[in-house]
Amino acid sequence: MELTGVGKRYGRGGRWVLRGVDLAVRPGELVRIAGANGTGKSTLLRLVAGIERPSAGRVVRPGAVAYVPERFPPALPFDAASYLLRVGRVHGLAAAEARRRAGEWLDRFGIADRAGTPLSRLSKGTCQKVAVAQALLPGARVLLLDEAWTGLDPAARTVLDEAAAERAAGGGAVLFVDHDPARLAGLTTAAYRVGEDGGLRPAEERAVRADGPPVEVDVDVDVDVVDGDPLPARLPGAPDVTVLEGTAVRLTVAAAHSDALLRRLLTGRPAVSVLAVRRREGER
Amino acid sequence: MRQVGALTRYHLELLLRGHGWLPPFLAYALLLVLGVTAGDPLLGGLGYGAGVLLPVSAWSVRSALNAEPPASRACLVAAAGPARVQLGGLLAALTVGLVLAVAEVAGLWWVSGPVANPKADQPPVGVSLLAGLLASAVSVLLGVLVGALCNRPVLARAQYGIPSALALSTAVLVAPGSPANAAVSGLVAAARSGRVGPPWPELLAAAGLLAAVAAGSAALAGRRPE
Repeated sequence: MELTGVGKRYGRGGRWVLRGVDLAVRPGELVRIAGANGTGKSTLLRLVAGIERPSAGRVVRPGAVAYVPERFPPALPFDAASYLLRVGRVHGLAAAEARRRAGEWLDRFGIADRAGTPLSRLSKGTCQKVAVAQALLPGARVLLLDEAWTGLDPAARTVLDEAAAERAAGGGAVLFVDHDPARLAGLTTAAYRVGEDGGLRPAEERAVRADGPPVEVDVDVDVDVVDGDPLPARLPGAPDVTVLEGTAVRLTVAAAHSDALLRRLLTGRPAVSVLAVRRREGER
Repeated sequence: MRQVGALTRYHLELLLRGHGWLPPFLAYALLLVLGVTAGDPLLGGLGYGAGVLLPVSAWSVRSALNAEPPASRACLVAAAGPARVQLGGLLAALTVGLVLAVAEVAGLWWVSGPVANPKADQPPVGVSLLAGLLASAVSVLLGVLVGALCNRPVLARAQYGIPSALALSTAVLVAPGSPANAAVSGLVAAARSGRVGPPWPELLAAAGLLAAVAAGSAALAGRRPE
């Protein structure tokens, strides 16, 4: 996914919301877009999604894009499950596969019991979960999250954190905007800031923790790589890898990323079997 | 193509669940009840029914294209591109129009009396029904064309949508050389003379015109932002 010299303004002679933006996001990258309110972060995502056309420059997309809009409308006459099924079909999934994944994501967000409830009767937070699920379900190559965490409960935020990390680890390109500076800390591969002048510049990622001083708890995950194939280069939380005897490997990762790491190991390739998961004593 | 099919289904379901199909349907039913009396000649009724179906189809396009809130539309555009989303909306409206056409022909067949005027020769019912169905299809195709021209993205200013659709529908129905005019007046003339011929050339012309306008509006959907 690549933007070259992209500019955007509304109307001839209007203010340039974005100007001279060059951005390349490769598969496996997890990129944060920061900036003050009204600086064009959402516009940037909408340009990448192809919802708006740039006034200048070019946007190249590798394929289908999944997008979570800033405000998802509950005004749709669908119920949650059939909305997800329909969006999955639009993404090109077969009906059975779309239905299966819809059920899976509703389950993962803990709203499987409300699958048949019309969107208009869901609470704002539940509706936001559906909005997030519609973007995660197709497994698109590019995932765009425009403040998708807003309105979600803590459990659902964690699910979305994991899902975003998983998508990047699985070879997707993820671009997100969020007000929480600690969002996906340690997993983002790059961060940019949209300036007042509409320019996009790299932002230094500081290791910001939301609460108090940094407390690093590490988790050891011992796995047996069944076929002896190499593990993927990019795993959630960038674990330290120690080879144990035979095909067994120990992955040491910060506790915050251990769930995402396990999920990636269990669902991805190569096939592994988990031997042990334990909290490591002492500091890393 | 598969994505356009899925988008058509999406828009159809949106129309059905959101009751967007209901106002055009009720208006059409009302106009048919007002304009056709039980026992009237079939061909005359079919001519009237086909003519009125044109603005009704334009209305169903308006319903289909405006049924979706901008944010969920944005999700579809990201997934499939603006051109396919636009085509999906138009195809959904076309489907609604064609279903109305079939229902109209069946309903008129049921309530009408003789096929043509009592003093004229009576043509066979089958050919007359086919002619009526094809004329209605011509009207639906051109009605969808009018709807495509009088809504986003072709007509950017929403407040002119309804008056311009009404004016353009009337123009398409009365303009000499228009396939809708030829098909409808063919039915009315057949009711008087008793000589009926299915309007195949008009159907082909209408389909070609709609294909061109639909492709144009889909291309435009990619150029104009929401």
